[in-house]
Amino acid sequence: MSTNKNASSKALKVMLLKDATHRLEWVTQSLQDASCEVAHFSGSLLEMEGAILREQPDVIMIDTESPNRDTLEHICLYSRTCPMPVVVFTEDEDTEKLRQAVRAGVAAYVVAGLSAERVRPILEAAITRHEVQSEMAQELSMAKASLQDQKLIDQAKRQLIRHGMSEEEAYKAMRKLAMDSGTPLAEAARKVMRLERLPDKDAT
Amino acid sequence: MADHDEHKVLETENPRRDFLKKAAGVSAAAALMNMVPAGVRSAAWAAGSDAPELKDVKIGFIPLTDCASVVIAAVKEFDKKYGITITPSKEASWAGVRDKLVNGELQAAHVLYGLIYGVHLGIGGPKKDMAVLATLNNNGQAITLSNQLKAKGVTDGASLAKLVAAEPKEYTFAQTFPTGTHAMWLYYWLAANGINPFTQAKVITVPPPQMIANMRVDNMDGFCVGEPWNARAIRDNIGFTAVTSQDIWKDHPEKVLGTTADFVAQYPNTARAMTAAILDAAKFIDTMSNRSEVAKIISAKSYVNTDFDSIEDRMLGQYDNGIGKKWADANYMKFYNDGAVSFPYLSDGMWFLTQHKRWGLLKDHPDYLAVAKKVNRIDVYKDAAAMTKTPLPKSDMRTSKLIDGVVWDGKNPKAYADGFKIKV
Repeated sequence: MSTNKNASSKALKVMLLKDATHRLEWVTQSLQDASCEVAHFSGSLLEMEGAILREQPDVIMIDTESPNRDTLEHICLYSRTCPMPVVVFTEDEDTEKLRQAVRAGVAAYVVAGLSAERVRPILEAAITRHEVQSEMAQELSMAKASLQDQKLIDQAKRQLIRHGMSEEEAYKAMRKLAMDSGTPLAEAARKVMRLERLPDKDAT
Repeated sequence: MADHDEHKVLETENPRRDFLKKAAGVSAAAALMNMVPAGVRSAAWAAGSDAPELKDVKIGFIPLTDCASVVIAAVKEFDKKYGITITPSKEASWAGVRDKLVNGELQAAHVLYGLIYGVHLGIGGPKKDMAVLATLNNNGQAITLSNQLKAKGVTDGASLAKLVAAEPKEYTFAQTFPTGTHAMWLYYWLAANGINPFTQAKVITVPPPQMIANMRVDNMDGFCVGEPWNARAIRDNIGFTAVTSQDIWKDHPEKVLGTTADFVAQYPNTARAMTAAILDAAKFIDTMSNRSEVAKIISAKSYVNTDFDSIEDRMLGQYDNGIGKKWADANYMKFYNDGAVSFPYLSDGMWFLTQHKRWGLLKDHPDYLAVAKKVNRIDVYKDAAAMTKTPLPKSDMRTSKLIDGVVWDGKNPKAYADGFKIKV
């Protein structure tokens, strides 16, 4: 997916999730005034995920008091294919409450009566923040994975050394195994460890 | 310098005589207090330095039978006894409850046990240090399966597993929040029957009051939710009770009185007063002669908003599974049980973490015991228990055997979490 969706020249696609009790006219209007493309979803909760995947919006918006928020939470938590920012909107104009909510990291908020010039920056900020967060999460999981790989390689090397190889020989052996099978070094290390788990003649 | 002088004065006094004098004062005061009627006594307590720092508290709840102690604490004015006024606040979603706890719009809430731990560890949302002040109830949830499954011969977990194996398709099951209790009961039960909830089924989240409507129109195969919505499914003739949550885990922890760690630090006396009021309400609800009245009160539009009969039967332990079995359930929804329900056992909190790990919501093992000790405020609870004369258990841990025969005692959470055959 493009990372430059928030370039201000491009029309933002916003998906509005409806529920039975909340009216969305004012949000729809202020989004259109802010030249956003608006897609509505009012289908069954079972179809929400499919609709989000189909529409691929830049931002998903839902009323802060909508009961369907829990359904959306679940989708965002489990679906790796749905990494869109969620912006919550409210007709409640208590700005102190909103300030606290945003500070607490709850979500970005759009309030009723907000001018079109102010709606768009909020959406763009939410998108940027979401991108930064996903990048950070990705980097963290990559860092964790490479740390784990390193541990595995060291472990495998130690096993080979225990069998009489020098450290250099052990490393070369694993590198050869990796190159021959066209897999990363960590995968070769995993193979060495698997071999180790087989019954060992020397051990008896 | 002032400290130094005070030290000298203390040293010159005879420490033993001083101690005896103080002890005599305490017991005399205690004896005197026992002669004062209970209502007045707690007012006296409230007037002292233990007075709640914050007198008005808004406690959120979701329309479910187990919100009763929050409602009853306010309606029966147990809150006044401890110098506070509780305003129950009906909420539309668990995500909303979480947001409002985190930003301080709600001072506390009737909330899913696992959700509090999820927020504490920042699973899929804001991360904030949370607090469990007491467990609100044990038991009283269930898994409902649709009439369409019944038509295919499904009556329980074993027959469901048979159907899933024989006719694989996308079986859809709903629960109420990804880190919550119903998700964990549903996954546990499916897995105990050999069904992998993530590869052999599709799981979605649906708000409790919408479960029935969604099952009716959407071919949903089953859901796990709190009462009265399972009883209502039978009355509305759209499904039957395949298993009760008490049959998955007898006396399992369910909702808690949850708040943030910040709130407890800032308003410790209010936190204690709130807990005490809830304990008194729980005691009232567990007096079985009060239950019909409680069912009547909470069925009102401003609370659970459903017919009285759907609530009352199962609250009294009168169960009907909708496919021909009727029984008196000894393990009906309990709110107090002489304090056995209310105590925030460390092993209960840890259990939700083990399941979060099991189902991939946590990537790594947390420090189970350290997290539970931080979140479950046994200190606040014990003070509130003393004020309400609630008996305390002998240990901070308890031992339970769940539906699959596996024993959980809180002793080796890492091995427990890793030990399940079906996991993510």
